[in-house]
Formats: sequence, structure tokens, C-alpha cells
Amino acid sequence: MNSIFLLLNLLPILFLYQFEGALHVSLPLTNEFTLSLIQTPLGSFFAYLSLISFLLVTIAQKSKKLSFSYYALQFLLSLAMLAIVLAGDFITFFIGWEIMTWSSYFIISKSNNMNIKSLQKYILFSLASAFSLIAGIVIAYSFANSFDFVAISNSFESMPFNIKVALIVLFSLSFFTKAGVIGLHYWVVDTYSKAPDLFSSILSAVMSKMGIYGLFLIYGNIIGYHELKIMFGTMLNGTDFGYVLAWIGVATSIIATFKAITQDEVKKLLAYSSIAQLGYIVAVIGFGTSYGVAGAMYHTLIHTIIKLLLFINVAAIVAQTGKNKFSELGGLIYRTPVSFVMLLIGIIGLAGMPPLGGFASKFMMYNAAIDTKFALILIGMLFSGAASFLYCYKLVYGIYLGHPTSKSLESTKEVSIHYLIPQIILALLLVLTGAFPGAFIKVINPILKEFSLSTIGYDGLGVMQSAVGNFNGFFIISAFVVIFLLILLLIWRIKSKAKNNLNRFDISYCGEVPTADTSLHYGYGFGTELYRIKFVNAILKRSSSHFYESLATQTKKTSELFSRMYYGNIHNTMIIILLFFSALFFLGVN
Amino acid sequence: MSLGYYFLLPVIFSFLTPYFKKLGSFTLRGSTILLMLILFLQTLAYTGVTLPQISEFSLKPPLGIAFILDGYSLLFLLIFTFSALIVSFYMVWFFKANKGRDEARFYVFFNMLIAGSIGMILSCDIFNLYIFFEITGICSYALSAYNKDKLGLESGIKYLIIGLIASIFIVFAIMLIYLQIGTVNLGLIAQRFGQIDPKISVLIVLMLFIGFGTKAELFPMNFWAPDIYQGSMASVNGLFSSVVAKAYLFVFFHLFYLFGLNSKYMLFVMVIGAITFLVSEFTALNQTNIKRLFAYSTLGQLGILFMALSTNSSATVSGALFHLTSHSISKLLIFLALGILIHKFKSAKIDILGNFKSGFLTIVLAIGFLSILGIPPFSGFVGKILILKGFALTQNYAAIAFILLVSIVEAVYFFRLTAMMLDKKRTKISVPIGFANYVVLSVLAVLIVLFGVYPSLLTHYTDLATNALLHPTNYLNYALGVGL
Amino acid sequence: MVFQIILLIMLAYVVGFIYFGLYRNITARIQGRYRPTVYQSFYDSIKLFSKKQSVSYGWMFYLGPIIMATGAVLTLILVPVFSDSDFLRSVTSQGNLFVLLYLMVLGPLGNALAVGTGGNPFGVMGVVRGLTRLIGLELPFYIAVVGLIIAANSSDIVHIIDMQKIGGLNIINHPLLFIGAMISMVGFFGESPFDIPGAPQEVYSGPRTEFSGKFLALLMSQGSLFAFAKLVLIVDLFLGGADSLEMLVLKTFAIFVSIIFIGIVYGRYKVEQAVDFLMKLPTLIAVLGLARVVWFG
Repeated sequence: MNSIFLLLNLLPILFLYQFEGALHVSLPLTNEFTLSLIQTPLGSFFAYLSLISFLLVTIAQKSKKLSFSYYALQFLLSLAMLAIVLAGDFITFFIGWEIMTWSSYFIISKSNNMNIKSLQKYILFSLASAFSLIAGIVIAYSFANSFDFVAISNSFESMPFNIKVALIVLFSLSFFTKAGVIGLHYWVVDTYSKAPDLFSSILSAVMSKMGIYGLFLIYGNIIGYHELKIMFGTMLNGTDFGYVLAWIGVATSIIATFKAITQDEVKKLLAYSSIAQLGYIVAVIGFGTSYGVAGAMYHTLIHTIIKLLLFINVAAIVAQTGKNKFSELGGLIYRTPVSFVMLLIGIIGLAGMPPLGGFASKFMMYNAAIDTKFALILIGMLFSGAASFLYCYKLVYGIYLGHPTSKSLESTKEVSIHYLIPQIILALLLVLTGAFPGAFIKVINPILKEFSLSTIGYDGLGVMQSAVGNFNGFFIISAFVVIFLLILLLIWRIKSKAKNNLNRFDISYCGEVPTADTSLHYGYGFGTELYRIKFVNAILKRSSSHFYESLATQTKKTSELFSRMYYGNIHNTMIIILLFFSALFFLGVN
Repeated sequence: MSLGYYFLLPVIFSFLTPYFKKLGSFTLRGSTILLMLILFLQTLAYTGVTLPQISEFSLKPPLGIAFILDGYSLLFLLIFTFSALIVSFYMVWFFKANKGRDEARFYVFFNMLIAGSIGMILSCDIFNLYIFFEITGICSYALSAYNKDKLGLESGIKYLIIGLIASIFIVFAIMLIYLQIGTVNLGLIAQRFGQIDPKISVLIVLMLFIGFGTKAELFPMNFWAPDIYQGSMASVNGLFSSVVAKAYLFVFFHLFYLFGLNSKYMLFVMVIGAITFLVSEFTALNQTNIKRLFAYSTLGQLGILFMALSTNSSATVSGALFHLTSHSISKLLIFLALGILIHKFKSAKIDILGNFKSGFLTIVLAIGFLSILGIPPFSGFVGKILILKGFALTQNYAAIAFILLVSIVEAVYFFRLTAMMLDKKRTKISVPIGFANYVVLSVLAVLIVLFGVYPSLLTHYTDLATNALLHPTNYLNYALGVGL
Repeated sequence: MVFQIILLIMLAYVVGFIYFGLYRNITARIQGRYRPTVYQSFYDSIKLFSKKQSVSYGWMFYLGPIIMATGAVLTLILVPVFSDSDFLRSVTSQGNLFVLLYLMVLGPLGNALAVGTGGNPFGVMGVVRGLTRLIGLELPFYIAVVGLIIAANSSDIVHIIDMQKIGGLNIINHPLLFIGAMISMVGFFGESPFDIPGAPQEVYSGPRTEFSGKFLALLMSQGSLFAFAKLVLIVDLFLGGADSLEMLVLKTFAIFVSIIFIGIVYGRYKVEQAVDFLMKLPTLIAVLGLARVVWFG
């Protein structure tokens, strides 16, 4: 079964063998609607992103026994996403969007951890997102008289200003919900943490990117950055619009980062980290400059790679140990060494450290902020980046380092090879994206042209050029490796022997000897000290859940109020009908 | 075949039911299926001919009695005969599963109900329309009391009382019309309606509104409806939802546009529809009885249809008619599937949705739910997007926002039910479905998907219907006997 | 080039250790106690290199100090040491301020992994304190660096040095940014009041708890290299770089001494106090400096 769907996943590549223009299909749905698929560079970028992600996750799924319906729904989901990114009109886009919503809903419902409340949360937010989208679509239709992207784009300029703003707000709300911008992220954490472990990687790596694709589509293609500039005016070297959006993104990033640090459940941490990373993308997506778009694109790619890697890694560990909390894990480093190295590469990328791709994307985004002179935005991003080191460390420490928190962990074996293959591929990708940033620029220059922005320079495959400085990824990674090896060699040469520590209590402990009762796995509790920092505490103690919970309560109360009318007394029904008639008659005659 | 057979055949079959019963239940069930099949095939045959068609009895219109089939009634005729066919198949399983029920009593009223509903949509004079209205009503009362238990009898009695009230209003309205214009022919009334004293005309319109609005379950005249649904059998609910309520809705808008009330009363009907939609969807959230819940859902969907049909814009009306068709199919599917569960669990609590084990039922129910919510690629989506598109074209953004916001409330309970079906932690009992039901439910589910992915199949008829509804010139000519 | 790199590392090693010795010396003098010689740190380092590592926690434990040293060396070679000379220019031109900002954290993070492997709760506690402190500590420094980048419209350090030749030193042009950066630097040098991670009285020297022998020596050596790199960076950014060895030593020493003098008079903050403090006054000062750069050129 797995192999069949693996092959099926490869199928779409036949139709997308090149980056642009390989696909151009239109199917009439009714006299008025035509479904059309067009391959643009932007769409191809996301199409390949999702195709490869699905492929890798399917490889990892070989280690699990999954039903036919699971695979079928997942395949449907992948097709829906392709429909979204290759759509040439809004009806196709919306159909893809909704099929994505419900097929993922049915997959998520297959998880053993799932409960009705979380499922409801997921589907209601997804539908709210979809309804906001469709509202925007029909409003745009009322002016363009067509659902076609090009037609709407052409008529956008002539729409009244308030309609333009309404469209931007509606579309943005829809895509923000999918990407989990703060305030609209209420569903994200619950869903990612309770979904089937391997499917969480799809949710975080690919599905949230559909929100990002939507934002690109709206800002870049349909409205156009140039038009946004005209509409809202400029600020420093960027646009007013971009500045507001950037603050939304930065706030998302900072808040989610702090929330991530305090999580005990591994997948919840990853979920918050996903929100935070998408916050970066949202922050730079509105800049309207080549560097902003390039940074957002680069980070989209990197985040997809990293989150796939991390979620697959965590899924493997959860499958192997049956535990999903930092407080229950620990000390797996020498028991599952390959997994450890993969996770390590993942978090180096996540933290945005230089030799790997994580830095290249951040460099691009920072340069974009410098270019537009959005200094505070840049500070915000750097700040959130600095705070993210904490959760990166928590992730690796809580699972792999320190001491095992229970006896059962001590006999853990390395995870199945099916989990490792995709991780190794992803780790390599992360290294390559770090070493050859120029290659990436080459890929996205057509997209920049599609947005009618100026292209970005690159010097060979290793160097990425920007307005305020170049980044030679290849040099940095080579220098790092060379120096690392030299020091390793040097240290190796200096002879000194050490006894191998087999006893976990053989540590310096203020002159005392810890016993089995001593809690030595300190790190899973990180984040508690954050509550004592006033600024961070102010963030951590607030939650959007109050708002949504009270909304639910109010709805319930309204419902009770209304249902009290329907208590089945036929006399009263008759009286109401007569009264209604009299009232209408009175009004009508006068 | 004369259009009169649409009424005549079911009546004949009804009267023959006692003889069929003597011949055995196979003949009884088979004869009904045969009848419905004939009606349905005949309707299909009508899709190929030029419309309108007219069959007059005794005298030529406008003096005599006549049936007119135009695009608008053709769509409804298709829905009615198809639903009846489906239900007649379903009842085979039902009576097999429930041995010892009085089959003849059901089939008599079932046939008459279909005859009455079809009569209502074909009749071209208001007095006959009233007669069919009464026939449909009486059969509905009898069918909803078919279960001779407390709830069934309660619903029968309530339906009877409310039906009588509605009749009184309509009779008065017809009387006033006759007093003012001196005719009951729809064509003549339509021609001369403008000449009536405005005060009287307001009264007539109001009485018709209250009469048909009560039957078509509009707020605030629908407090009785959920009780009726709760007391009736699931299959009867399906009929109420996809045939009877739609027949009243047909007449409502038929008269609405024929009498040229659209410009004056559009906003009023739209607001009433919106309120119905809002109140019903919110009330549905709080229900624990599954039949009641879907009763509210039906009320809500009728609310949307009233909103959209009253707009006088062909885009919206065409969308609404698509939505109406899709809703009829989906609700029929849901009620019939629920009937299977209710039969198995002997309970109508919503928990039964969480306790059954059947992949087939889960899939068809999910398809029904998604379709009603208007999610692609199911037929409900096309209807909804067409309605929204129509509102957008008339720049009615408030209606769009309203429909979408309330739809989220609707989604809350639909997905709560879905989540219950998918919840693995509940105890699951496997449910026998029966071959006939596999066929029936599959056909409905396939139709939902088919209309979703290939809506042109249906838009042809909805466009015809829209044209006929909004521009009834042809109809008027036939009704007046000019075209003959 | 390889020769130059080795030369640079040796220079940094010597200067760094002398500074470290001086630091111990001066501190002792101010506190009025017996003091080690200036060369004490050399002796310690050489001694430790030849001593045996007492316990091992596997390969990751060994890799930590090596990663940290790699980070330090890489930082060192990417910071332009001499302005107006071709010394290592081909290497330094590959780096820029953003790379350096991150490289400065890479080492400590690599080491944190080793500390975690060691499994000593004090070590991890130190790491966590360090990372928590980083939330506040980086902030003024980031703002200062961003301010300079925007002012020079380049993240290239050589360019920033060149700009100062024309327009005057940044310490004079952007004093608020300088103050912000210096406050952060006090923390980066592990000085009071921000010496939270390694606080010997509470967390048993923190991250270094479990290390001994050549790895402790490596940690110490990289510390001195890294300290030198940071001093040179500050000199480059605010004091217009140095065109000769004497100027380099003079300028770095001036920075170094001021950092010591600040650190010596304060007690240690708790981690939350440190972050709270850093997020208020120093950040405010730096933001004001930044606002000046952005809005008034």
C-alpha cells in the first residue's frame, strides 16, 4: 500500500517537469465557471515544496501500519494542495482549499489522541478561514465579473478604496488563520499536537505554507506590491502596509517563541515554534521589496525542511518510546545516535545558526529589513531569534541529553530506518541550502519577475548578494568544517585518557553523591524562570483562549435562548401567528 | 401523456391499494415503485420537449381547469418524483425491517401526498391549488401520525391544527381575490392584481404570506415544525423536507413573482428568510434529538432559500434553485440514513451517531453533511457559491456576510455530529443496512458528488426554471389561453 | 593566508590570556587580596592541556568544546583586525555583521550540547541561565549593531570602519548606541552584574562544571580568543579600527579596562533581574540612538 501511494505521489511531477508553463489546463464547470490550472514560477515553488514533503512523509509512513483510507485521504490532500498552488482562478483555488480542509480533517480525526473539542477547533477555524476567503472572492467577482486571477488583478485598480481594503482584510484574515498568526492561532497548537504524529509534519511544513502561498498570491500577484504602495503610501524605504504587517508578524513571532519555551509536550513546542517561524515570513512578506520577497521565500523553504525533519524525528521518538513529554523523556543520545544528530542539524537550522540554511534565510530577511530601514522590526526579529535558542536547546536537551527520566528509556533502540531516510535527505538539504544560497536566488528570480520586482544578484552558487552585504554560504560552511576538523585533530593528538562514565550518578555534585531519587533531568522545566521576567510574564499569562471560550459560551447561550421559543405549545404558536398577522396588517395598511 | 395523469395515477393507485394489499405486500410495494418510476420517467421525458406544456380539462382556460408545466415547475417535478421514487425503494427495506406495520395505510397517504404536491405545482388556478394544498396537508397529518405512539399522535394533531389555520388564511385570501377580480385563474389574477385597492391587496398578500409561510416553515410561524419532524418517521421527514416544504415554497414564489410582488415585498421576505436562517441555526446547536436537529437545519436552509429566491436577480435565483435541489437530495440522504440508525437503536438521541459502526453510512452521511454546508466538491457548494455570486452581483454584501457568518454556526453542529461518527473512543455497534438501502443511499451520494463536480447537468434546468419564474410571460399566455 | 591566520590566532591567544591575567590581577588589587601573576592563565592553560580528562560522557561531550573553539576561531578570522591593511582581507570580506552576531552564539550553543550530555544539573542550569540572560543581553547590542548598519547602509565591517575615517568615530557620532553595546559587552565578558551562567557560588561554575583536562584548557583558550575577537569588533565598530598593533592593543585595552571597571563594582543580578534591567534602560538608550540614526540620518 505504502509503495503504491509513494508512486502515486510521484505522478504529478510528470506534469510539472519544468518550472514554468508546463501545465495549462482549463475545464468548464458550468457556463460561468471554468476551472483552470496554470503553472507559474510561484506556484511551482510551492508545488514542489508540497510534493517533496508528501513524498518524504510517505517514506516515513512505511514504518506504520496505516489504512487505505488514510493514504487515500492523504493523496487527496496532496492533490488539493497542488490545485491550490496551480490554480489560475479563484474557484479552483477555493475548491482546492476546501478539499484540503476536509481531507485533513478526516486524517486528523484518525488520531488516537484526538477529541471532539480539538477537532471542532480545527474545522471551525478552517471554515472561518475558508468563508472569509470566499467572501473576498465573491466581492472581487462583483467588480471583475470573473473569478480569473488575471481579470481580478486587472480590475483591482479601479475598485473603490474601501472595497480594496475589505478585500485585503478578508484575504489576509483567511490566510493568517491558516498560517497561525497570533490571535488566530488558537487551533494550531491543539491540532498539531493531537494529530497523528507524522501528519503533524504535513500540517506544519506544508499546510501552513498554503496560507503563505495565499499571501504571496494576493499581495504579489493579484494586488501587486506596486499597487499596495500606491494605496497606502510609503514609510521609510518600505510601505505603510508592509510596516503594519511586519508588526503583526513580529508580534506573532515573539509571543509564540515565549509560549514555545514553556511547553512540556514536544509537539506543542514544535507547534508554537512553527507559529513563530511563520511570523517571520508574515513580517517580511509585505515589505514589497525584492529582498523581502526573497527572504520570505527562502524562509518558507527552510521552515518546510526543518519542520518536516523535526516532526518526523519526534514522531519516531514517540513511536519508539511511547512518550511525548519532555518531563518523560531524556538521555536518548547514545541510544538513538542517528536521530540525535538529525535533530541537532534540525535545531541548528531552526535557531538560524550560520553554517546551515537557517541562517541564509534569516540573513535575507534581516537584509530586507535593513533595506527598508524598518529597524525596530529587525530588532524584533533578532530578539525573537535570540529567545528561540532557548526552545531549540530545550528540544534537544529534553529528548536526547541529560538523564533518562525512567527505566524504560534506558533500553530504547534506534528508530526504524524508514524514519531515518527522510531525515537524512532533509538534513542534507539543509546543508545544501546553507552552502549554496546563490542557487536559491537563481530559483526565485523568476518569481520576483512574476511580481515585477527587480531581481537579486548572486555570485556563483555560493554567494547571495544583497544591498547591504553579501553572504558567502559556501565559504562559511567550508571554513567551519575545516577549522572544526583541525581543532578536532589537534585535540585528538594531545593524548589523555579518560575512564568511560557508565554510572549516571558519577558527576560533580557539590561533593555529594546523587541518588536515584535525585532529580537530575533539570532541563525539561525550562521556561519557569521566564515567568519571573515581567515583560515575558505579561505575554505568557495572556491567552487568546479566553476570547474564543467566551465566544463559544455566548453562542451557546444564544442558542438556549432561541430554543426556549420552540417549546412546542401549539396554543402559543397559534397566538403568535395571529399576532404576527395583525402586526403586519397594521404596518402594511398604514 | 396528459399532465393530468400526474395527479390521476397516484390517486388511482391509492384507491387500488386495498386490492394490492390482498395480493400481497410484494405487489403493494412493487406497484408503488412502479408508479413512482412511471412518474419519474415521464418527467424525464418532459425534459426533452418545449415548455410550457398545458393540459386542459373540460373547458379551455381561462375558464376551465388546466395544468401547466413550465421550466419552474419542471425542476420541482423532477425533485418530487425522484424523491418519491427513492422513498418508495427505501420503504421496501423499512417494511421488511418492521414486520407487521400497516403498509396499506402508508402507501395510500404516500401516493396521495405526492399527487397533492404535484398538483400544487402544476395547477394554474388558485382554487384547485387550494384543493391540492388541502390534499397534501391531510396526507401530511396522517403520515406524521403514522407511528401511533404519543409523539406521533401529538405531531399529527399539531400539524392538523396548524394546517387548518393556514388554510383559513388562504381561503380568505382566495375569497378576497375572487370578490375583487372575479376569477380564480392565475393568469387573470396576475393581470389584474395591480388594479385591486392597495389596502385590500395588502391584506390578500399578507394572508397568502401567512398561509403559505406557515406551511413553508418561516419564522415566526414555524414553532410547530420541529415537533412534527420529531414525531414522524425518518422517511416521512425526508419527504417533508424535500417534497412538501418545497411544494409550499414553490407556490409561495410562484405567486410572489406572478402577482408582481417582488419589487414591493422583496426586502420583507429577505429579512424574514434571514431571521429564519439565523434563529434555526442557533437553535439547532442546542438539540439532543437528531430528528429535531435536522428539522431546524431544514428550517435554516429554507431561510437561505427564501432570502435568495426573493432577490429578483436571475443569478441569485438560479443559485437558490440549485441549492434547493441539492438540499433536497442531501436532506433525503441524511433522513433516510438516520432512519436506518433510528431503527437499529430504537432511539433518536444524537448519541446514536457516535455508536454505529459502518464505513458506508459514515461516508454517505459525511457527504450529506458536507454538501449541506456547501463544501466542495459536493453539490451544496455550487448552490452556495452561485447564491453568493448572485448577491455579490447586486452588491448585497450584508447578505453575503450574514450567510457566511451563520454558516459557521451551522458548521458547529454538523461537524460535532461528524466528529461523533469519527470518534474511536465510543462503543461501536455494527448496523445492518440492507441491499435496497445500499442502492438508495449510493444513488443519492453519487448524485451529490456528480452535481458537485459536473453542475452543468443541473444548471440547465435551474436556468430554465429561473427564466420561467422571473419572466412568466409564457406561463401567463398559456394560463390565459392566448398561446393555444 | 594560512600563515596569517596562525599569526592572528597566536596574537589573540597571547593578548587574550594577558588580558585575562590582567583582569584577575586588577580585580584582586581592587578587592585588596593576593593576586596571581599576569601570566597565571598561561600556566593554567598549558598545565591543563597536559592533564588527563577525569571522566567521559561520550563523543558529544568531547565535541562541545571543539564546536565552541571553532566558533571562536571563525569569529576571530572574520573580524577585520587591522584597518588599511591587506591582512586577511580576503577572509574578512566574506563575513559581515549578521554572520558575526550569530557566530558569537554558535560556540556557547555547541558547548551547551556537551554540557547537556554531561548530565550535570548544575551545568544545564548554567546553560539555561545563560540562554535566558541572552534574551535581554543581546537586545541593546543588536540595536546598536542595527543602528550602525543602517547608518553605514552596509553590514560589511570594513565599510563601517571606512565610513568612520570620513565622518568621524562612531563613539562620537552615535554615543547612545555605544553605551548600549557596552552594557551588553559587560555581559558578554561574563562580568557582574550579568555573570549569571557561571556563578560559582550557586551553580558550581555552571556550564564548565564537568570539564577537565584538555577540554577545560580548550574552553579557556577559546575564551581568550573569543574575548579578543569581541574587543576587536567593538574597536572596529565604534573606535574606527586600528591600523597598527600598538593602536590595536591600546584601543582594545581601553575597552577592556572599562568593562572590568564597570563589572567590578556591581553585585550579581538574578537572571530575571538582569533581563528586566537590560530590557529597560539599556534598551531605551539604544533605541533612542537607533531612532536618531533612522529618522535623522
